[in-house]
Amino acid sequence: MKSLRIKPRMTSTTVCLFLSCIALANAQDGLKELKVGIITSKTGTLAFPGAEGERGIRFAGEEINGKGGVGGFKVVFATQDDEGTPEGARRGGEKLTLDGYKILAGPVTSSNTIVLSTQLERWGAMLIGTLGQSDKLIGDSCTRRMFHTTNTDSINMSSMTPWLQGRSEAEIAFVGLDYAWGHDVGLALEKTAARLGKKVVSSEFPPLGTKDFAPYIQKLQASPAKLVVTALLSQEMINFIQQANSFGLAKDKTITGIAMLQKQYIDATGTMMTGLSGDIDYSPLIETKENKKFVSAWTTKYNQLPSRNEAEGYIMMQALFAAVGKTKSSDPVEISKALEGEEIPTIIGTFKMRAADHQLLRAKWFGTIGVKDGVLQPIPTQDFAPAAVEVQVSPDCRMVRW
Amino acid sequence: MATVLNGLVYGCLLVILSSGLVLIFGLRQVINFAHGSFYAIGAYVGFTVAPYVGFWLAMVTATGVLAIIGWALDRWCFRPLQDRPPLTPLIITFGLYLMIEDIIGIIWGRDTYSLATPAMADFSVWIFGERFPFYRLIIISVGLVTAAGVQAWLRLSRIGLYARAASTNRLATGMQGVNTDFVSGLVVALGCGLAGMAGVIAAPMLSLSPTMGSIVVTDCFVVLVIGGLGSFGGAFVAALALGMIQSFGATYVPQIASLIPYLLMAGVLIWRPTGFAGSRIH
Repeated sequence: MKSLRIKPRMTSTTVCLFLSCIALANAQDGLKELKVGIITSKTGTLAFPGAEGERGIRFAGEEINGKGGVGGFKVVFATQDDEGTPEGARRGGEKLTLDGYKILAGPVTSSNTIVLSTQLERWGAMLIGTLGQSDKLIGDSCTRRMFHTTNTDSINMSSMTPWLQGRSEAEIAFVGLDYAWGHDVGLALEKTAARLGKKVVSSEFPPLGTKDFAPYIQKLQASPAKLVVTALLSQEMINFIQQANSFGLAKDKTITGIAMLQKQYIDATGTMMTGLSGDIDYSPLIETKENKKFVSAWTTKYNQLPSRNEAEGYIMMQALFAAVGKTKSSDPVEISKALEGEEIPTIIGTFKMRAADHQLLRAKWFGTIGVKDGVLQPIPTQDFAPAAVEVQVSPDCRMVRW
Repeated sequence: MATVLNGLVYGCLLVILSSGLVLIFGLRQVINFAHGSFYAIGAYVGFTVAPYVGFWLAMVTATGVLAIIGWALDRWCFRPLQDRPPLTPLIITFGLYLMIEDIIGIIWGRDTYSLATPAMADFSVWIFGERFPFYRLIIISVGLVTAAGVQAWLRLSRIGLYARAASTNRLATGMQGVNTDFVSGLVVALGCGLAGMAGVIAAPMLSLSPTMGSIVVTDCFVVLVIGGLGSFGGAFVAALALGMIQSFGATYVPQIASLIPYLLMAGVLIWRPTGFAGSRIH
């Protein structure tokens, strides 16, 4: 039988031609790749904020690529699902860094961000935390390869302090999710309340994934506190708002919360949240030229206003672009060094990345949910300059320097 | 008293949902991993049609749509696979669960929604000095009526008799002239219809998201293991017990509340692996 023989010379010519084509294609592009690995929750109860954060990150990447890239690089992304668990985050980080994505971004929870931070040296990678808010991220978990562009719990609580001070209620009840962030907020609230001569008389910590909040709501109703502070997230927040509404909790108590005034919750609960007050990290109503441009571009693409998580993803990328533009490098170490102490221009202002703990010191707002421009949304009523809400560097942050 | 009522609310929701799982397992010997997805589809169908036809008709519509899906599932999935090893349909239903979750995301998006409480039930009543949402009392009533209805159907109707017979010995029942495929199709349709109904009933209380099914179905599997695979009565008792455990746990021992159901399940698996009521439909 006659067999098909491939001549070695012909094979090598074909391979050479193929490789030349690839090289030519890259040369035409003229840009090297800045590989950004997104670790986010795509499944589980945190899938929604995970998707929002990723959308903001990718939007920033597409936008900068459309302008010819940054520092001689075009941004490319790969995403791994952390399944909402620290183990999933570690697995995702391992996969991404092995694939060459050494600049990591995006975990939703602080727990997942912390797990990643412990592996960065081993992976030769860096991480910019996008949505996690625990104080631990800039406290005992701080590392030289991790940066944080979102406000932390203590910063958020600082913005609530003037409002709390003006309230007549001396007793406060707290309900927060039973993980690092919820406990962090609870602790920050206790300290703030004590400073203001108030007292947290009851604290409830429903586990992540809680569906029925009725037992917790009834405990809040039974509490002597007339003010309820929440630290809930995603579906848990929506379930809580719906169920608190059906129990008439807001008739007896004033409800406020950290990270509560968000578009996704308002969209899901209709008018139930009208009049509620809380801290605001981002609002499409913030009056800066850059924000107006961002809102316009976002609305053109998605036909809706950007949410807080989407804006956080975008701001995080702005920090990365600032460092890459400065160093003209995609090396995580070079980028990390450049970020320390850097002034970062963002859509909500230009802010300093504090070198001591890698926290972006940014402005903060407090506000109420109401109708503006025909849309029910968080309306900022009070703004705080970075210095007004800045918290001191934690003595627990003992960063090994470069 | 409020703690008992809260336990009953979640328990009754689990009764409606796990009834379907029990019926399907009893007849087809399939642990339907996609059951939570059917619950989610029910909620989304209800959410979509409720603005046009009202809440109660939306519930009927979702039940009907899911019953049709259930019938199709039995006809083109469970029936062809009935002679395969039990792992095959198990893996297929798991695959279905993953697919349906994505399909829901494609059709309705990944945003989280909520369905408004029907206006006639959107108020609170005072029970033993505590405010309690009337809609939650409706959930309890629907759960209890559904359980009684399914039990009566199984006990008093001819089809129910065939269903019980087929769950005991499919071959012998077929030899007596009973069309067991038809009975199975009907039971799977009923089971999936109940999942759809549970989805709509839960929607005003719990938020709608593509992953909503996977969250609740875990509790249903706990119910199945504790009550006994295929035992309707066992599932009823186990669902109510689980609701109570969660409610009392959250009130009195919140630190370990989420662990208790799984500890109980582990205990049952060790000391009584068939569950409290065995594995046959009764």
